[in-house]
Amino acid sequence: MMKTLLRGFVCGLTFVLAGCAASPSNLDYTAFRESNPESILVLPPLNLSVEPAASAAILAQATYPLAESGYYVVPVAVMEETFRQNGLSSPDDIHMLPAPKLREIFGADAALYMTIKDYGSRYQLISSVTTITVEAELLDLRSGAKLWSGSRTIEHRSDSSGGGIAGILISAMINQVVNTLSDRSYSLAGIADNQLLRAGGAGGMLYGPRSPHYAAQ
Amino acid sequence: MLKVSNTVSCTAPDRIRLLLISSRMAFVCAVAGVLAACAQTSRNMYDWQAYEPSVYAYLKDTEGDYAAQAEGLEQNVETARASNTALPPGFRAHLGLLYLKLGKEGQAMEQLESEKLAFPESTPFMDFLMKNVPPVSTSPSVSEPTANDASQRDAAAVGYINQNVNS
Repeated sequence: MMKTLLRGFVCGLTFVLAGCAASPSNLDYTAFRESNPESILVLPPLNLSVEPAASAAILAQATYPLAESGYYVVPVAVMEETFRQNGLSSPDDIHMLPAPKLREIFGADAALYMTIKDYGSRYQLISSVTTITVEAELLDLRSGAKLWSGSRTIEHRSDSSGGGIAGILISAMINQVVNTLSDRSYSLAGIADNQLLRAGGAGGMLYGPRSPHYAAQ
Repeated sequence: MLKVSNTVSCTAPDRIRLLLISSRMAFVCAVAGVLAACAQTSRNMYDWQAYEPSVYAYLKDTEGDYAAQAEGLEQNVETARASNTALPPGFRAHLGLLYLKLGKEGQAMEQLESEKLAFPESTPFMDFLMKNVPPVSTSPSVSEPTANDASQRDAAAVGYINQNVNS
């Protein structure tokens, strides 16, 4: 009898936890703890999606989760302006800059290299699906060591219902147009950044020194 | 040969019911636990009213309305002060950037200095920026700096930054 109870309990647990899981947590946090970064430079993300506005939305909203996790985040617009004034506007070029140079100018302990793999809305007959996939890697700018990496996919499906098949198709198209006008994608980008970069979750980043949770981890 | 069992035997339907009950219990417990873990139950450390929207506006449109963006941030400074909440990392530096774009160099330098004060981690970058902005004249200027003057100053700063970054 107990065995049955236990079996059911474990099944129930696994089902729910799977829903909130981040990327698989085989992470070894040794390098992260040793590095103990206080400040993070969030570099302009590589954008592999078809939506050019993705970069600004993802970059602008990366500060919040990192700062609230206890890190100093180098002001991203000032950073981008600094790069731009120096003829560096392509994230590909920026990602190739040597760590010592980044450390010298921005003074950050670690740099976050992000890639937007997917960003946008797809019109799928009777519904519109917005998908955002971001990946990130945190590298120590002092040692070059990789401290952490993670990936997140967010999906938002807006189903249309009612009004017969014609009504469904029309409202799906309207949803698609509204989606591509970017407000919903912008909020979803914020959610993606938050889930990916906020400390404390399974497979997530560690808390930084400014966080009240830092000492306990 | 006959094993005497001490346990109460469970019939098949009972077992299924037990499984369902226990997994439902686990589900409820786990959801509560997971929600607590996933949710941000603690207050924010900083006031996020204007910063990220302002950054997004700046990144999206390099010829944006800097005066309006600066005003939004200035208002946030007031509300943060009223609620005794700290401004986020980078907020002051970003406001300083907007002031630079608006030709208000004195105020820009003030913001960079306060960023250093609030967040000593920012010192190397703030020092780099302050080094590359030409010094503000001590005597008050007779006329308002024109847009051309501002862009010339920016260009001079660019030249210096170029030497630093690309060397």
